[in-house]
Amino acid sequence: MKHKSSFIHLSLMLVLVVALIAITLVHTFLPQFLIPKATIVNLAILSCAALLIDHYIAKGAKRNYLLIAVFSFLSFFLLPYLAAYAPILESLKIAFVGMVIFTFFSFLFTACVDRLSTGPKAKLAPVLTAVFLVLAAQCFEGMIF
Amino acid sequence: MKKLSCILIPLLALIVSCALVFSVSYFTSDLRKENIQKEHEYMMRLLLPGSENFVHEPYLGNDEAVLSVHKAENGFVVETMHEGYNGKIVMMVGVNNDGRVTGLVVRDMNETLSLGMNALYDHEFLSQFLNTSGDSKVGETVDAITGATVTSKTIQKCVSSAVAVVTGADTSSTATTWGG
Repeated sequence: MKHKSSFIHLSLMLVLVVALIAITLVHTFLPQFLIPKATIVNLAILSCAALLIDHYIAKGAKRNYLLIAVFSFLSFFLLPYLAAYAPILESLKIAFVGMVIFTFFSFLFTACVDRLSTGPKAKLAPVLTAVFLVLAAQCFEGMIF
Repeated sequence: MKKLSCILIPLLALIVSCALVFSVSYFTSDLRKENIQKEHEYMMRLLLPGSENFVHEPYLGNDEAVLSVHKAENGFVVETMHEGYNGKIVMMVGVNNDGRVTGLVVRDMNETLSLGMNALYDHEFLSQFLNTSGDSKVGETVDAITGATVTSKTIQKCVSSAVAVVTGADTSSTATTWGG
């Protein structure tokens, strides 16, 4: 991968596009189904999925946290708005919360995986890290609501 | 050049992603509206058996929980919303002309998984409201869902608000106070 450091933005966009297209199609063809809300836990699940893809495809890439914050804000704002998932103010709220979660998680994920990956056989370390981050997000949401 | 590509590549990807989600949303919007309308009508016929034609009726009361009212030959289907444990709970309730509940369904909620969320499909709990006239009380005439008392009370308030639209009952004491 030539531009490893930019792959984290692409993986987040990929995860969001897949999730939003799935939601749009479910809403169209199965309107009786409840559409998942953009809660802290759901945003954390999307962020962790993007971080996992990034880890397995572009392992060891340098992180530019300012760019991560900017692109995650734009992705979490523009994509839900254009997919008609949320109106503009709601999309801004999603963008802010999503940016904070994704930027913070990318820092934590990188730090944890570096310490947990003790060798080439430690392939599950990133998955476990992601699961624990989602559980932490669930605890945090339970504390503040 | 490398620094510039770190910005240009994600920017280009963002534009492509935006175009993709927008086009999917745009090209399915008509079909989506049509399917939502069809499903809404199907649900209303299910909640108020024996009715075929529904007419949207403006609600002139002062209960803010009432979202919409649809009138049919033998009753009404009322959409109500109350604050649950974790966000708003939206319900559709069928009420016949005698003020009796003929059907109810939760349309939107974001309660705790495996606790409050059980209200979506817990037939044993929901069926306790059938054929009542909106005077059910959780803990007295209705058994709450285990571990989800607030959600159960919210369902009760939604039903009471819906029945009150038809019977004109005062809902201020039980239907609009959070926590019951």
